[in-house]
Amino acid sequence: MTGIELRGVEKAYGKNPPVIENLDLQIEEGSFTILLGPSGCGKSTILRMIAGLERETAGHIFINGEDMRDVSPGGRGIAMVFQNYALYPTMTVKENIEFGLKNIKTPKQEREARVTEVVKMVGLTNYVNRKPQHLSGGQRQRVALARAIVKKPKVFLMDEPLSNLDAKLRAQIRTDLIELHRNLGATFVYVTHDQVEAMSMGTDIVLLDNGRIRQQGSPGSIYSAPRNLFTAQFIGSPPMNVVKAEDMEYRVDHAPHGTVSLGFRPENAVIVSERNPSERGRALFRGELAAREILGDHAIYKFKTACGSIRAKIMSGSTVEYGEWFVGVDRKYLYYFDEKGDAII
Amino acid sequence: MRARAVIFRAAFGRACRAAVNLLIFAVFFIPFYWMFLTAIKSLGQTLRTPPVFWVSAAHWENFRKVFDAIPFFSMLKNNVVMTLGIMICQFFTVIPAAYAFARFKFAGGGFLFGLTLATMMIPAQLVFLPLFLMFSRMGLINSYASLILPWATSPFAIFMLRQTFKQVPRELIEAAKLDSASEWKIIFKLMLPIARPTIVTLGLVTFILNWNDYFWPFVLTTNNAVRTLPVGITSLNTVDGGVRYHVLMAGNLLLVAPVLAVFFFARKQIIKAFTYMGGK
Ligand SMILES: Nc1ncnc2c1ncn2[C@@H]1O[C@H](COP(=O)(O)OP(=O)(O)OP(=O)(O)O)[C@@H](O)[C@H]1O
Ligand SMILES: [Mg+2]
Repeated sequence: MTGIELRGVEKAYGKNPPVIENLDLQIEEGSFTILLGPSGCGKSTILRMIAGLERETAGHIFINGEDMRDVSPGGRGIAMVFQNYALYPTMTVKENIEFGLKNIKTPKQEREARVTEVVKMVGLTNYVNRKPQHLSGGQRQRVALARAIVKKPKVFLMDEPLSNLDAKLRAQIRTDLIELHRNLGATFVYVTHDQVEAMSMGTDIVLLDNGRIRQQGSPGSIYSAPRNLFTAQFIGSPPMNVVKAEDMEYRVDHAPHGTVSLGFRPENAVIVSERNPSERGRALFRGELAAREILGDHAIYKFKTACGSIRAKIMSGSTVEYGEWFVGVDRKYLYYFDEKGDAII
Repeated sequence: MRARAVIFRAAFGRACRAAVNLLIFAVFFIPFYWMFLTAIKSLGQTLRTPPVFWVSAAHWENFRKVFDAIPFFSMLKNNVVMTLGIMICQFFTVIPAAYAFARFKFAGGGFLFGLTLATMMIPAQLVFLPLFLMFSRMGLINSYASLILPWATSPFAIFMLRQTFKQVPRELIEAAKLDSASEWKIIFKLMLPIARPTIVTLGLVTFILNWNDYFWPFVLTTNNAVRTLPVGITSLNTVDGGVRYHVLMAGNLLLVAPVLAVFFFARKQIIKAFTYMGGK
């Protein structure tokens, strides 16, 4: 078993009830795995346990098949990038990067060569003698990355490393990280609560809620085949529309047995001006257009209907005027959920 | 009209600021000037009313009188030994204590820290007698040990330094651990450099307080062999009966000169230390 494996892991802080209980998780070697979930669901806790900064109260963590229980953070073959970068403030960029190598007594010559290479890779060659407080946010971020890369770890752990950057820089570093992952071939474990980051970078997404895994899979499968309401409503922007079947004005007659709620993605909705009774394969909602966001290449419309508000995301075309409309969804785009919120397939 | 009013107000503001600056400067400068002036006056000039603010001929012999009246250089040496001794002792007691209180959870840690702070509230006058008796039983009166040991640590410094250590973000230490740094590396390469401004400031405060300290060296010594400068200078007061302000001030000038020199050379460091501590 290569990669990272968590087996029956539990974590409780002090005497508080555990925030993570009996967690089984496999992270494949070489994957770009995203731990995704709402704030407080335990993403950082899991990452910190893998790093050895937090001790699991039960269960085992394996890295490349080796039990990490008694292995110190420095001995786990990992590197971590923190949200606030955690650069050593009294050291220069170069000293920051080579600190880890010095501590494991890497010969000076090799050290210099590796630092030079990494500094070039992240484009900081002209800043090696600066202190972190004299760098911009993006530059600090790159120092933090360089500090991780230089150790040539098998595993990179990143805890929301982009959240302190502005949108443009974030998009740029996102691409850089994808490239970096491809070039290094190392395992990346990346924590975020931003689904756009997760979908765009990850090869594997682990969706967490309250310390439990709600779904794990490729971005494509998480998007197109959500296994429960939580996943369905967490992924996608705007999130999936979910309505109670019994509230619907026009019943969907082909819903499978046990259906309590129906879901469909805003991007699969169409807006029509009148009800066409011949269209049998469609779920239909009558609603009043309540709000309209025109966003360039697409527009988002919010309708008030008998079963709550519904959003439709329409790729550019003529603007829909305020008034009464029908929202239709092809049956192939409908998702059905039972009373426990699990998808019926 | 409006424009003129604005200009006038700006000028008025500048003038006010200048006046305030001048006032502050005067408050700090005049005592020093007066000390220096008195030190080069003759006895007659010091006693004149109204006081004279300028003398045409300096009486430098006042300084010679200081050297004649007290064993100045031996006292200076005592002062240096005592102050340096205290600073070195505090370096080795304060830093480990502050570090332990800041970073480690151990049984009784909170209680011990409370106890440390509580010692700050005990006035010196309350403990000097027991302390004197203790030292005399140990045969330490009139030794450097009696001058240094009472100040070998400082609860205030422990408190300040602990705060500084505590303010270091947890992630920084975690990053160092992930960089395979041992606890010693974390202390010497990370924590102490970060705490350097605080340590320098505390060192300066310790230096000034102990350099000028009068009470303890006075009560814990009985002869001039180990007495320090502040004690010696004060004794100038009473030589030959009458009060000789000019000699006293000459002695004082010699006493504070090193402090002023330190301030002058460490000015940048001091300002940095205080702004760093305030800005955090
Ligand atoms: N040191 C700690 N002591 C006590 N409770 C903690 C500690 N750290 C985290 N927790 C609790 O554990 C739970 C999970 O926290 P964690 O930091 O892992 O969440 P997260 O998913 O990373 O959230 P965010 O997206 O806000 O960073 C939270 O309920 C939090 O209150
Ligand atoms: Mg977190």
